[in-house]
This record gives sequence, C-alpha cells and structure tokens, in this order.
Amino acid sequence: MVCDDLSLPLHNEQTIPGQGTCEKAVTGFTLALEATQAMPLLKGKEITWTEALTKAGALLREANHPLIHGLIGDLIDSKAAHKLAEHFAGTVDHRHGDAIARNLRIYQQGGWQVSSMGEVRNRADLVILVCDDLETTLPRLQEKVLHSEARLHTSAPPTVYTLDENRLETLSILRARLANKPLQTDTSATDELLSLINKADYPVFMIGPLQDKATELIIRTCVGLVRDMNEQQRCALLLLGTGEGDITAQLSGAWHNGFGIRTSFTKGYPVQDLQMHSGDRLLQSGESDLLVWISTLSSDPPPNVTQPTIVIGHPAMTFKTDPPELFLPVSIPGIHRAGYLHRADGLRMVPLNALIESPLSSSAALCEQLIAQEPRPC
Amino acid sequence: MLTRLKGARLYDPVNQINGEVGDVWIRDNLICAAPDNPAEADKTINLEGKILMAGAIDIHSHIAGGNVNSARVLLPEQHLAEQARYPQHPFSSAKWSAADTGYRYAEMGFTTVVEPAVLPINAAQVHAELADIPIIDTAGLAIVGNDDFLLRMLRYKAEQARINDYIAWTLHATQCLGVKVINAGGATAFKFNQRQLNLDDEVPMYGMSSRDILTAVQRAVVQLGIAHPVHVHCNNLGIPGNVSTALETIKAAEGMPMHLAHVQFYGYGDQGDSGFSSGAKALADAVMANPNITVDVGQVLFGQTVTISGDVMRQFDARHIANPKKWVVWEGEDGGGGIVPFQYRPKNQVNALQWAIGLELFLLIDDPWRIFFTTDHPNGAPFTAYPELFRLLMDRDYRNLWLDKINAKSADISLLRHLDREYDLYEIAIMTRAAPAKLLGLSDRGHLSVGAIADIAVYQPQDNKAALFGKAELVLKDGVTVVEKGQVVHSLQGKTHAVAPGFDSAIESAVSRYFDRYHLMKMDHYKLSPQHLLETVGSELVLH
Repeated sequence: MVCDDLSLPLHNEQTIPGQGTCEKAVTGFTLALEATQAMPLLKGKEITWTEALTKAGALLREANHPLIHGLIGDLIDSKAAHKLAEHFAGTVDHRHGDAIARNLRIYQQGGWQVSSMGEVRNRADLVILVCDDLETTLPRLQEKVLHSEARLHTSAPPTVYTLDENRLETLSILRARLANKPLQTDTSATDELLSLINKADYPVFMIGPLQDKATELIIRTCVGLVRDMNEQQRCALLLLGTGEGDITAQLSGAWHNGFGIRTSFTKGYPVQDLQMHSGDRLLQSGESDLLVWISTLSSDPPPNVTQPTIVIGHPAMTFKTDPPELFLPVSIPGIHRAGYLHRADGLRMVPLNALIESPLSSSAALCEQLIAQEPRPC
Repeated sequence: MLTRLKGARLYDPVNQINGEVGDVWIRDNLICAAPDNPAEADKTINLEGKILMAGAIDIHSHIAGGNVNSARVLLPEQHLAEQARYPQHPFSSAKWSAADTGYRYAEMGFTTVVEPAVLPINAAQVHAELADIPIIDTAGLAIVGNDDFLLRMLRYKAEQARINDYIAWTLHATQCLGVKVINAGGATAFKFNQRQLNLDDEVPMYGMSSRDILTAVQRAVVQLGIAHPVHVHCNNLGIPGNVSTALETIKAAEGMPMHLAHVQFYGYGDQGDSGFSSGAKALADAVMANPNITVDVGQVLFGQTVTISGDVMRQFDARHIANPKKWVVWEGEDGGGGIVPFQYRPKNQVNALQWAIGLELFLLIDDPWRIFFTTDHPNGAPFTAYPELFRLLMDRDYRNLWLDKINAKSADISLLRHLDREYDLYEIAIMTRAAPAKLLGLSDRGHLSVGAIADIAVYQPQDNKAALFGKAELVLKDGVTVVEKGQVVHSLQGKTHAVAPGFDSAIESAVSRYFDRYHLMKMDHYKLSPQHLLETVGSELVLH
C-alpha cells in the first residue's frame, strides 16, 4: 500500500521493536538497519567494485540471452532493469510474473472497469473480498480502506462480504441470477450476497492474491459481473498488487518498451509473449543462459538455478545454498535513497525518501555503468 | 559555440517575417544577434532554398499518464515492432513508448508538446513518463472540476479568492502549466450513476451546476494571472446536436479567456435523415465573433486509433462502439477515465462527416492565432498522422480527391467542397509556432527573436506538404542538432514547464486536514517536489 505514515523506528541508534500497526513495515525497517554488506561478492567472497563491475559486464556481454528477473524494487530499479534488458538483448520478467501475465491476458482480451483504493475507502458501500490472505500482503488494508469512518458522503464504513473457497461457484451463480438466467441448482447460498448487491449503490469486487487453481476464471467472472451490472447500476473491480514492485515493473515497463514485463529484446526490438517469456520457463528450458536478479525491497535470495546469476540486491540478502556468481549490494529505496513506488491499485506513485545515509550505489547507477561498458551500435 | 544558419527562407510571424531569405544566428542554446563579422561563426550550415521556422509546439496531445499507459498495454497488437529504428538510441525500436514519442515528434520538427490531462492523483507518474520522453520539452495541464475539495468549496459558497488559492495550490502540487476542466462535474455525476450531464444540470450531492464549476475555475485562472486560459473539454462530447453545448459554453465564458479543446468533437448538429449533421459553420461563426475564445480542432483522420479521455462518463457511453471489442473504464480520487479503441472509416457516414467537420472548422475559422493544430492524439488520429493533416490544410486539390473517396452522403452535405482556402506557410507558422507559444505563455519560443530558445525546424520545400512536414531536414533543440534529413541523430533530455502562482498558505492547512481525513496519503507526499523529481526520474522543471 506504500503507507507514508510509518517512520523508521530509530531511537538512539537502536531499533524500536514493532510499531504495532504493520509487521511488514517493521520487518522491512529492521532488515534495512541490519544490512551491512557494503562490498560485492564473487561466489561468496568479497572483491572490489571495479572487479565486480568488470565481471558483471563480461557476463552480460557473453550471454546469449540474459534474463532480467525479480524486479522487487521501486521505479528506479524497474527502469534500470528495463534498460538493462534492452541494451543487452535480454528478456525482462517479475517475480510475480505469473499473476501479472494472467491479469494482462484478461485485460488485453476484453478490458475491464476498475476503481481505486481511495474510491473504495470513500465511496464503496459494499466490498466483496475475493482473496486468500490480505492480512499478509496488505496488513493495513482493513485499517486504511475498509474500516474508515471518515468518508466523503457517509460516516458508515462499507459492508464487507468475504467469499469463501466456493467463490467461483458463488460468483457464477450470482452472475446468472443478476442476468435472470434460469438455473437448475440450489441458489440459496447466494441470496444474502445478491440482496446486498441489489441494495448497494457502489459495490466493489476487491481482488487480492489468490492461490485458487481457478483464479483466472474467478477474475474473468468478476470482470463480466461488473460489466453486466454497470448497464443499470454502478459497480467496479479493484485489483490489488502485492507491494513487491509488481505494479511498478509492469507500468514503467509499458512506457519504456511499449508492453511491460515478459518482453524480450533478443531480436533487437521488443516482443512481448506472456507465456513463452516467463522467466521461470526460460530458466528451466535453458533458453536463458544468465540470470540477473534485481531485488532491493526484499532480502529473499534468488531462485536456485543452474545458470550463472548476478544479484543486484538488498544488502541484507543471505544465501543458504550456493552463493550466486556475483552479488552486488545496492541501496534500498525509501531507506538509503529516494524513489517512487506505485501503491497497490497502480493509480498513485508514492515518493520514497532517503532516511539514512549509505555508501551503496543505486541499482540505476550500477546498471548505467554496465551499459556504458558496451557502446550501442550505430 | 556560435552557429550560423545561413540563407533559408524564414517564417517568423512574431517578427512579421514571411518567407524572406535570411540568417539565424545561435550562440549555445539561444538565438543571438548576427555578429559584426560573419567570419566569427564556429559553424555555418548552408540552408539556401530551405524553409526555416521555430520548433513546432503541440498544445494538446496525450503523451503521458495512466490513461495513455493503460491504452498501450490494452492494445499490444497496435504497436508491434518489426525492426530497430535507431539502434544507437535506447528504446528506439519500441513503438508508442515514451522514447518513440520523443523521436517521432522531433522528426517532424516539434520541440514542445503539452499533455493536457494530468489527474492530480496520477501526476507523479505523468512527470516520470514525461521525463522519459527524449528531446522535446513538455508540460502538463492539471485536471480540476471533479475534485471533491473544490466541489465542497463551491457547495459551501467559498469566496472566489479561496478558490483561486486552491487552484494555485493544485498547480503547485502537480507542477503543471495550466488547468483543464473535463466535463465539469461529469465524472462525479457518473459515480452517482448519472449517464449524462448538461452544462446547467446539477451535480448530484453538491448542489451546483457544471456551469458553476467551469465559471469558478475560469475566474480563478484569470485572477491568478495564469497565461494559459482554462482549457475546457465541454459536456456532451461526441453526441449529435452537441454544437449547442459548445455555443452555450462560449457564452458562459462571458468574454473572459477560454480555450475549447478538440472542438471537432463538438461540431455536431442533429439535422437530416440520420440525425447527424455538421455544426461547424455555427461553431466557427461563434469563435470568430468571440475573440476571447481559442480552440484546437482534434481532427479525425482515417484509420485505427484508440480514444482515451478523462471524460469517464462519455467513454463509458462509447463502450458499444469499441473496435476491437475491448474497453477500459476506471475511476479514482477526483476523476476517472476511459479507453475505447476505434477505427475511423472513410465510407462510414458518421466518421466521414467527423473528418469533414474538423477540416471545415480549420478552414472557416479564419484566424490562425486562435485555432490550433491537433488531432487530440490519439483520439482523432495518432500524432504520427500529422503530415497528412498538413497536406489536407494546404492542398485543396488533395482535399477534393479525398471527398471523392469518402462516404458520398457525407461529402455532399459537407461544406468542404466549397471551401477554397489553403493554409500557407506563414499561417502554418502562426498556428503551430507563434500562437501556441503565446497561448501557453512560453515567451521564449515559437519565434526567431534574439534571446529565444534555439528550437529550430528546417524543411525541404516540395509540393507534397505531407512529405515536407513529415521529415524535417534539420531540427535543433536548445541549439543542438537532433534531427538531420528526418532522422534522429542525437538525443537529449528535454525540460518540463510549469507555473507557480502564489497562494495564501491557509489553503494548504485546509487541504492537509482534508487529506488526513479522506486520503490514503499525506498531503506533503501528494505534492510533487521538484527536487525529488530531479533526483529520482531526472525531471528538470522550469517554472514560469
């Protein structure tokens, strides 16, 4: 959600445990403060920055098909990734590329009608939650969006209706009933929801992370429901990102390469293929022979793959198995340097400010140095 | 560095120069006086026989922001790449990307382009995108008129001075060059399930009309001394008979400056068998009779495009005509928008008449200082189709050839066949250089005076005006050669222009309290910081 009302828990150089409102923020702040790795590592051993950049440049130049992956970062990291992919004729994907690609397929086939977190907070009178676990992904959603009493035209928070694991069936029946289609099944389980929708002025289907094997069908059903309902009344979808740079990677990728993630420059021009350019597929098939993993917001290590790996990453990142070929620690957006990150609905880029000094370079500065090692063709 | 551009035919309406042969001297990034000794030139470029104008300025082209970017993503099939265009420049092979936008505009001799629809909640992304558009200078117009804070002020009868403070604060928060009103109150009404809003209809929950909102914003712009008049997207876009809305809006201006955007989409009568006719004559007469009014056309050109607009109400209404059959409608804090792909077909009666109405307006409004060259990119056509539009305006025979090809009924009822006017190069220089600079308050461009910024476009004279304006022979941006023979040879970072009218700081306290109550972020983080933009996305702001 890119909350801007939480601050770095610094007090006399000690961390203050838990602000009580967002464990995700506390974990992020704590990890950032514990991040001490200032020098690059070659197979786990410290080397100089000159050696590291020379090695990284050589790996990129010699690779037939580098994969720029992860992109768990802010706008600056995302731009760096897209530039790197374009310059070194690689392909770019995001850690959550499967979910982004699924949504893009739906979007590009028919479009949709969506709302924003701010509109839900201020206007929605019914929120139908279609997700598994919003508490983990967006811990403050309840507090900041769903339970607010200060709203534009009413003081009553919206009614929140959470769909259970039978959500696809529920949504399908609901759609059929709203369209007055005959049904040969017991529909009573949807009576309450149907009644709520019929009474609502602005119901919103809020779609968060889903592990359901029918996720794509569930979202498509919601898209269709909203489309149908808007013929007579108001209604909208709200699709939420994960906060791990997924929205920013896709949106900034679009204005850089015209398409977004899963776009390849191996032919010298951008080609998006939501299936064939899956990062995981390119790694498993061996089509990519170099992994560049960019992750500045998360200290999680990259996937363990057979290809040589360059990590441009969070300085608190540790590697439980084999260390990567190269680890280039970089500054953390919103901690060490300024940046921008889209909030989960993609409507607003929120500024991230530098809070403490760091000797580390940004991913953008590193990537510019790598790009500068190989002049473009004329 | 002293450069002499020697011997071109100059077209510089600000200095009443109409095709006279002369030199232009440039020292670094500015036009300078000729030195006493021409031998002092470090570089001389011989331009004998060529046409030289200031760099062109586009006042209304949707080149950045969430709506544009979402349209790109919606329609990957419309901008598939086939080859690398300029391998030496980053992302030059990516069609309809930020980079491509800068390169393609520069190729035609455009050096400044205004994004006319910056929804404040989305302003940071707009600036990030603008900063990634190479070569050209840019600016944005901030959308107001559906913002709850303003509507509350009007509901509670706030003094005009307080409204002025709020408008000035909005420009400060969004770093924009002017203010745009899109179907004032329309997006708000749509949120309450209203499907149409006329100028005098009441906006639900707020108790004032669309006209009231427009008038308050217009007065604020005038009283704040903002150079660019309020930029108006009227109510009822695209509806047959809507010329009456445009005429009412012109009356509502009450003699004060007002710019009406893409008026082709408001030039529609409702006469005839099909209930759709040209209202261009009535609209043109009204524009000519009201010198406070300026317009840009939003010309339709045939082919595939996509309509993108902050007029969420009208875009939702257009969903049934989407071609291909996919559309997007979105709503956010204080506004919304819609994306509807569309194909304008010459044999389609409505599309053909839209094409003719735009040209009628261009030819009937006989004042190139008050009518502006736009296609409302990409709504009427992508800006890359500009060469075709130049030819249509400058070549009557070419227009008549088209009249034989389009829908016969539309061709018959159009005035176009009876309009002999052809724009000449001097008028083109007014409409695309001198007048836009004046309208935007960018006094350092649009002309060749000493001290002006050295944004220069040079063209090869030829009968085919599309070829003439499609590929500039030479383009200089800030004195640097960026295009030669229609090809980008050098890329540089453009600047983004904005205004900074003063305001009473009390408004900021009120807005801050409002943000704490209703927004998901703090006002201090909502306001764009020029320093932060520079450090992060490389946006260099120039305040006027």
